[in-house]
Amino acid sequence: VGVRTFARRIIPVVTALPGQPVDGQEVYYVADGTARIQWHLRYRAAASGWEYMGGGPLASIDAASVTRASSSFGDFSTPGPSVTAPLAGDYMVDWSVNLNNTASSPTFSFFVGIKSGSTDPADADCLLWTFTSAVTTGRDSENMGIMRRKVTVASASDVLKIVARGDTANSISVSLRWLAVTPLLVN
Amino acid sequence: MGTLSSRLIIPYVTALPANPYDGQEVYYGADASNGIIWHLRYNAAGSTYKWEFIGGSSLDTLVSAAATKGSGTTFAALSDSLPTITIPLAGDYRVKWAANGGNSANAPTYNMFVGIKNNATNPADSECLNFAFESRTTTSNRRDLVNNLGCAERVITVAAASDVLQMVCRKDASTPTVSMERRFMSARPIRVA
Repeated sequence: VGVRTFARRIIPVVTALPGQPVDGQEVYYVADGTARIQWHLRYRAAASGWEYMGGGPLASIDAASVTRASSSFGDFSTPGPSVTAPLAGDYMVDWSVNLNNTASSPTFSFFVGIKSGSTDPADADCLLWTFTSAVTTGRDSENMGIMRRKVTVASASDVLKIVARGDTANSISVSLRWLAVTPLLVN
Repeated sequence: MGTLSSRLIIPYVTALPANPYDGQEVYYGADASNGIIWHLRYNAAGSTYKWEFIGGSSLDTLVSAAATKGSGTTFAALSDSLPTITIPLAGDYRVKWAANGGNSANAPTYNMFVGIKNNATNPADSECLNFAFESRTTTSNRRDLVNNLGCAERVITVAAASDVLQMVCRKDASTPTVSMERRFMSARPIRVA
């Protein structure tokens, strides 16, 4: 009786990256065991890091209506949403909010961006709404925005979080905040 | 046996193999300097583009600064000719883009279309983000719908390697000048050759 054998490529599932990786080594990294998010990563020595080959994003959403009334970056009345990045490195972050202006004759700008660890975003890295209505009555109501950019995480376990500021201290209401985080090159 | 074992290792390549076999896999360096790698698998029974995308990151670009589109109702690049993405392989791509379109006119009543030019081919209006400015007031000093943030996604077939995808814009009225900022594009392969 003939015996047929099959060899297959085994990629280990890990919860920590190997300490001494070799060029071309691959792992399935458990980014969030509870949510069953695994990332297929491949080490490339020339890049000095693990490059993303596939897997789901870490995501967070908060539908509640919240406010922010400050000209400096900070949390909304309920902070977040946020994602804890399990590894240092570069990530692609998508985020969105639904902004609801309630002021008549609005003449202000409002910035919504991603804070990485203790580092606030630059204005240029944020979603931007510029309200310049010249009428004395009426309201600009709701606008939904989405943005996508690379964000560097300095240390494992740093938190990525949506923060906001206005260029005045007007109270701004937003809802349906979400962000999704996918690795590019991590360590 | 040597053939079998060699097939257990997926090679990292910067050009697709010239004589691929069914089921062959590669890790293709789409933009190695930014860590953008595509896991591709060859499907001999596939369409024109037989390397199918299994996983990896998209090609992305973001231009935060504002640029303008002046007079004229035909598609054209914005004043800074950005953003663009050079596509490394011919094939079908899922392209996502967004822009913050700003109206500068009082009582605006026009449409602005923002789409993706595929090498030399402009998009159709129906393939674009559409910002419809429709002022409902006769007050002359009104600037409503000043800013709109939009996002769209569609499949685009890129005919040749190194073709360029570029964000372009047109209005259905010659004036006013419009501005856009926070412009990003993202291109992820579906199948390539």
